[in-house]
Amino acid sequence: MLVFSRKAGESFIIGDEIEVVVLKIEGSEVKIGISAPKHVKIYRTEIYKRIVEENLKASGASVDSLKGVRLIDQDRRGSDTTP
Amino acid sequence: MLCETKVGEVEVSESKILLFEKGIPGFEHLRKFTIVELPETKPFRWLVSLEDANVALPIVSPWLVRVDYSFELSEADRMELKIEDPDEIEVWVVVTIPAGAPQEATVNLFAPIVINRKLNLGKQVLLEGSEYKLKHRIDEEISRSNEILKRTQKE
Repeated sequence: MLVFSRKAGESFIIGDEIEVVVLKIEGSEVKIGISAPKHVKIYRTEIYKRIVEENLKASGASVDSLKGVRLIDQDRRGSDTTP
Repeated sequence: MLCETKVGEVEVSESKILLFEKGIPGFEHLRKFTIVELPETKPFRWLVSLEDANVALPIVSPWLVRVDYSFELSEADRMELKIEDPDEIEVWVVVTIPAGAPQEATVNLFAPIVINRKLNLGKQVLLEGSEYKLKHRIDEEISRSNEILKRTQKE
């Protein structure tokens, strides 16, 4: 892993298209701005990990476990059949 | 072809095989899925792995839980799913049921499963920056949705 120090207001560039700016440092928190092309997906690592946990939990379901889970009464939705 | 899955043996035609190029979080090694509808769990469906017979996730249409669910697909996701026409899109959300407590079931509105029906490509999309969370209690969402339905029917 490449490690270097930056002050607030300083930035660095990844490849030709991604710029990361350290906007503000406050105690143990750093505010970071990222400029990247629209096709580059950016998300927080811990969110991805939480989705992994949620999917693993969901996959524990059996056919029987769904009994008793109620949904919106489809008749009330009238002719709307989205999706 | 006949496939052995977690929810039993199912007949899967070539045209029903969905390709998740990056897998889904937690099951990154699995690429081929299909959606199975069982009469006993309707209108829930199952996102079933065709490569690992132990993997199946219960899914449901988000609009059966939250009537006003909406999000904008990011350009990155649209490109990855090669979506040209919004009519090609199908959306599902994953259901989590705590053991022995179906009334506490939740849906993950933050990370919907989006499918390009035309090309049979799928992805679990993350809606960073949206109001949605990983756990929405279904019973709470239903009460909220019923309120909205009542209001709109009066108008």
